[in-house]
Amino acid sequence: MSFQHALLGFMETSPRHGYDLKRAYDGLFSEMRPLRFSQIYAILARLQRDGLVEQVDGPGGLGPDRKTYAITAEGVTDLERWYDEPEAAQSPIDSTLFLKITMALLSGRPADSILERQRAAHSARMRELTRAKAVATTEHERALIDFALFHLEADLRWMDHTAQRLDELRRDVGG
Amino acid sequence: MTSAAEPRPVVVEARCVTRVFVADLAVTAVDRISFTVAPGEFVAIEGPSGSGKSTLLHLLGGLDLATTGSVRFEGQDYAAMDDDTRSAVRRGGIGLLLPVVDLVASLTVWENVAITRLLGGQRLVGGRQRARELLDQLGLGHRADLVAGRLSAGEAQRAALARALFNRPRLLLLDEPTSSLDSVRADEVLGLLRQLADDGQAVVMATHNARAAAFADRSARLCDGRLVVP
Repeated sequence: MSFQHALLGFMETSPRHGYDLKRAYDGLFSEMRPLRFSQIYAILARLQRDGLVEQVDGPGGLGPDRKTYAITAEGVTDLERWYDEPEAAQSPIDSTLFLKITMALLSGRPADSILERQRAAHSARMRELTRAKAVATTEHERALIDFALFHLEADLRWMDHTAQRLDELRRDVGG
Repeated sequence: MTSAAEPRPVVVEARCVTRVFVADLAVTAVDRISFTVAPGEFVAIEGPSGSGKSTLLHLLGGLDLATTGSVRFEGQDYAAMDDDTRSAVRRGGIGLLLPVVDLVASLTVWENVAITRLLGGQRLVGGRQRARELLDQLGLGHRADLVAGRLSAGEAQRAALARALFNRPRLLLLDEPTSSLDSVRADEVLGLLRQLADDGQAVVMATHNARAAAFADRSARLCDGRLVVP
């Protein structure tokens, strides 16, 4: 996940100090992956070193927050490039599950019941998320839950697909 | 508060139900399934194509009879009823949505929704308001006066759902109710089904869509006609 570009994106709207950035990030993304103050300061130091942000006069904050940072022209260029370039189409497959199924087949364990238990766990999580979505108060929150739901659904489809081909797969892996 | 000794109310109950279709070969479509649904429960029947989902749904609705075992709707065994009684029980208590949507193309959408009134010997017009309310809930209010033959596949599916809901059935049986809908519209329809269950209706939905099944309280998964226990 690109913390750096999220922070640059916040600073593109206005200069910020560390506390500001933490609050802006937590308001939108804390459910996805937490970002600690120490990480924010480390990223800011790196961005400043690379000339993508600079310290400016501003209201500042308390303690280590006294510094205010603004995005530079180079920073804007870097951010534009990030928006322009599509993300690598990474395979989001749960590689642990893939590894587990392969090893189960190799060792002669019942991969079908492993898949079935995993299916039940995925389904339970999807029900939980669907209930959370029903009481979500913002479209942003619902979009984030949908993001998780669609990915879990893709995992489940892979499990259903694979469950019907376990014998062939077992022969392939030499189990 | 319900005491522990009080029996749990059941809308529909299948007891060790098997359905065998005999043509050139005997095919066991549903194999020794026991299954109950209580008021206010939303249950998804999941499984791949050919796993027996639709057959089980038909058995639960009395559209088909079990080869062995029994299916009871509100305590009454379908097998013990004659055809007319079974039809009357379905009309009075069960809403059905099947994958092939069979609206009458020459009637308006609202007339199709209220059509069960004709079967009960009543005039259609008395059901106009109820039909319109349901169509509004399903985002089809603006199509109410159109002839049904002009609806898109997704609209026809929602109109058929409105028809299934018209009599306020105690049991709603749905076979792939969102198959013709885009994901946003599907979520709206599933949210409505969730609401109906929360209000006390029993809902059983056959689906192979995991996102749709996630709206239910629980899933029964079928594979080769049998219930899968993880």
